[in-house]
Amino acid sequence: MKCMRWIGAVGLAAPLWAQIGAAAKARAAEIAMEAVKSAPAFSWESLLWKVVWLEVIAVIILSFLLVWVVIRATGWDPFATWDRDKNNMRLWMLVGLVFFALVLWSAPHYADRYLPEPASLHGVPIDRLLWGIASFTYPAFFIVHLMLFYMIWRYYNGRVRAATYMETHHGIERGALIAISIPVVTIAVAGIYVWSQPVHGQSPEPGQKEIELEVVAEQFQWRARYAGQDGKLGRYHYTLIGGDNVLGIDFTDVKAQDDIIPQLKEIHLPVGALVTIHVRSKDVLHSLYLPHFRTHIYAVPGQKNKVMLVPTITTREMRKKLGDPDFDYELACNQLCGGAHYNMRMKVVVESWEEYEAWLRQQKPAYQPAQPQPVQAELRMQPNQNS
Amino acid sequence: MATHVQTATTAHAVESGHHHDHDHHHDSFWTKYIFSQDHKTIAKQFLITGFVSGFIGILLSGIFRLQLAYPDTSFPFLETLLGKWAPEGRLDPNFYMALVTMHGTILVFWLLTGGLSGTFANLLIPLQIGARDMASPFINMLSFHFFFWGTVVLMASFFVETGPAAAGWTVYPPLSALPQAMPGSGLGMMLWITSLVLFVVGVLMGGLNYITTVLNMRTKGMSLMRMPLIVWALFTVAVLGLLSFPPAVAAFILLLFDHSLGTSFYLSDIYIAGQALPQQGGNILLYLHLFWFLGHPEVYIVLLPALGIASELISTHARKPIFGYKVMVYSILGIAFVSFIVWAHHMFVSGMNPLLGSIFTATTLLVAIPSAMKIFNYIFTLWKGRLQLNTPMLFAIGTVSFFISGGLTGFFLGVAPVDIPLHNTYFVVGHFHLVMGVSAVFAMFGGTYHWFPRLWGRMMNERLGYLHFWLTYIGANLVFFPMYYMGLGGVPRRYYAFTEFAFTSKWQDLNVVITMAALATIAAQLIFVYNFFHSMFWGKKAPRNPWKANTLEWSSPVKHIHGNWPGQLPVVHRWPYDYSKSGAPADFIPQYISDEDIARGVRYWEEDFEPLSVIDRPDEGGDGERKAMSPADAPAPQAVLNPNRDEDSASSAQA
Repeated sequence: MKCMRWIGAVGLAAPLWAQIGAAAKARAAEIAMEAVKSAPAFSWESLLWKVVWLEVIAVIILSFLLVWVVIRATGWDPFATWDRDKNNMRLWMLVGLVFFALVLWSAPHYADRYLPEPASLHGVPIDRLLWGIASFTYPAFFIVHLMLFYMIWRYYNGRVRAATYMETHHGIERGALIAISIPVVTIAVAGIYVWSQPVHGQSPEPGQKEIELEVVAEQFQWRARYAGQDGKLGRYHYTLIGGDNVLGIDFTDVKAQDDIIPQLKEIHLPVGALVTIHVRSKDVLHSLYLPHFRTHIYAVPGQKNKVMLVPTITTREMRKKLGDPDFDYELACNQLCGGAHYNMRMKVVVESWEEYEAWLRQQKPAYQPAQPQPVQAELRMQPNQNS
Repeated sequence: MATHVQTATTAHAVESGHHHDHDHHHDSFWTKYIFSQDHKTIAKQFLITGFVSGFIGILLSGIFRLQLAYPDTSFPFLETLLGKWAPEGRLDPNFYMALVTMHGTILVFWLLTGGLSGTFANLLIPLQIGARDMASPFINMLSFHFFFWGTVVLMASFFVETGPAAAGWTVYPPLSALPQAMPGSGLGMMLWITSLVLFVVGVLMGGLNYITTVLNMRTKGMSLMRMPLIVWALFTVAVLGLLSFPPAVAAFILLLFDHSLGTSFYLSDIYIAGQALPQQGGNILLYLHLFWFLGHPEVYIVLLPALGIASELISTHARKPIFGYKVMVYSILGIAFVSFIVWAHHMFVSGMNPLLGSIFTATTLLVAIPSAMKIFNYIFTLWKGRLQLNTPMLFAIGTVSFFISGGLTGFFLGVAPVDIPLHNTYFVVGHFHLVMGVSAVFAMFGGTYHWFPRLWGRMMNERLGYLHFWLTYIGANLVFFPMYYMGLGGVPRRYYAFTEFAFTSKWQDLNVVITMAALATIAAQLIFVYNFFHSMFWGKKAPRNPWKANTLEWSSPVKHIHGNWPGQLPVVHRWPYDYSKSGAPADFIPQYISDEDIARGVRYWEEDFEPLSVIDRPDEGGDGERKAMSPADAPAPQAVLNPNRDEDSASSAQA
């Protein structure tokens, strides 16, 4: 039997296996000793899970081996009278059913972790559009899959004597074209409308307060700058960055002299005001991602991007809505910017206009040099670091 | 019967029955295995290189998935494996990004472009259109070698001091242009660019061959509308590649200049590592436009051949013509055309002119129409068929299923305002993995199981095939479906850990589920690896036409010969999809069988039928009479010396 060759080969290599086994055991013991010395606090629970997984894998492998040995030894062929088509069809039905059940169960199950209701004016039509699209795609997923599964169930080899030759069916082709074109056109029109009106068409209502701030991305933190009393942000240039002037602000510009850089790592926004955020980056591409406000724009070094939004739900209100007293709006970086890309966090607080003003008054203006003269940073060619 | 008119452009000199003298073409080891100019060998080379690279690519994902599932755990084996890149058993965040980058690069370019198109174009185009070989076998050989040495350069970048490229497979500057921004952006980035340029040169060489061969070397009777859909797809993506890769190469060369020569194509106003860099005036959005101008057609370069394979597999194994052949052809061309005008949907939130957001929303949604038509047509091919649920068919159905799951979420991402909260989140990761990483890969698997007998003359083991299919189908769904929910929760992609934000850390438990499913699915691929290599040497010997298929590649002798058919080239009398035709003696009619052959009782469906008895026939006499030939009269198969030296060969250009 061919397997004799295998058994022979394995057997001959037995001393080699023994040596490998001994070496592996010794190395494992070494690693364990090192782990014990440098390990963080031991957790029975994590050890239990590791053991469970190892056992599961071992059981699976051993059962395969057992079946293989039995087949080889007895010459039993479990597939001799196995109806390939019928059994694969049954598997499709079973797997399909479990698949459907899992999808139906999981979408609402995880719903409490999706983003909560939008905390901005323009976020509302975005979410409405998103769930509108879902009202098409979610049923479409089931319907088209059902069609696929039905074809398998109804037309597998054992159930049909012959296929029916047809090159096409014009009614079906036309129906399919209409079936797909209607959602495509509807969604396209709706999408273009939401993009141009609620998102990019934001302008102040009469009597609405407006504020402007700048958010600057760098490896690996966010900084914010608020316009001071004059309500305007001053000029900046990247060659002015240095020392305490972390944002490169040009203090010869009168508008810049009262700008404010909050010392704390948080941004405050007044509810109901039209907020314009100017976004830039000091070094590489980053992205300003305020998921709760459905706001997202790249921070591009050398390009002036800006977004507008009207916050509608204060932090306190959102905490009550979610039943989570520790909830905070968060600003994350959403464009790969280096090793610590996952750790660029800034807290965002939305509060009433009065609270916002009070907070802003407490912040110190940006660093002002004794003489209002720009300090020119030295331009240097970066050395080629190609090692 | 024939609903397809033979156009004038297919009129072609019929191979006269002369054979070359018996100087058998002796190949040395080098010309047979290393520098082969035979398209079938080159197909094998692409397949194996593609699969090996692909396996490395998914192994990388096992490592970084481990980090995501257990961000606070130390894994000593990682330190043994990666040395300084996993100090104390914790993966270094920069190397994490390097793994993610290489995973994407290897799988998108090496497996899904080189491995998919390269393999099946080389194997199928000459055989299915009835040609001796590609238009230029020499350039074909070169195309593989550029691909292969590009692979070597890319893999070598793992071993450099500062690590491989780590700025994502999209390598946006300035991160990728500035070594001080990230270690992998030093030598690793140069090697990445070099390997990509080598890769692209190989792809373009291949593409030139495919286009020329399809346009000029089709055998008599093989009109364009009688070509199998896979050939249409491969031809179309060859054109797509020729038009879309060069701007990306330009983007990479400009990136190289910014990286090494201090230019400012993309760089401006940068203060990094304590220095203000002198570059001013460049803009990163230039790179984004140039890259994505390739990037989007690239995903259709991946997808269209995959769908082409699905067309062949589904029609053959359902014993039924592909539903709506004309619509399928127009859809391929339509998708290819529209794919050129949608690229900026990758840039909706980049700060480009908002008007572009509206335009690209419209064009992106447009591409859904031909894509959906193809999916409906697959389902209606199954309708009233007689489905053989063998391994290739299972994978083809899997391709359709995953395209439904993955393609529908394109409706969200293609609409600019809805892309605002979803861009760069796990929603995107789920979407592109399901359509490319699973749907297209399933087509590649299905094609491998289906054409394995053509490549190695043996069958792959069916039972192991079923096991591989079911484990992978279930596993892949478990891995990528949960990512949609994470995306709806706003979880960004390319994050080393979810632990730093409240709105991401609530998803940590799903990370464990995904990782476990991913590790199990990666393990399941070992079944395929074993099956693939074991069957190559010890698989059950395959009959000439195990699937009873119609296309011409199954009429070529099982044992490979240069020139594909020992005598004349086959003449084509019908389209490839005459399955279960009423009145036919069998549920298939190969393309080279004419109605007259059927009328005179040729028993082409029998296992020992010799196609050469029909293919090698003397020229028609003046009154159209043809001598009946019995298998005993068929000339013995002989090696053809050099396919391009055939005097009346198919390489003479058609009108």
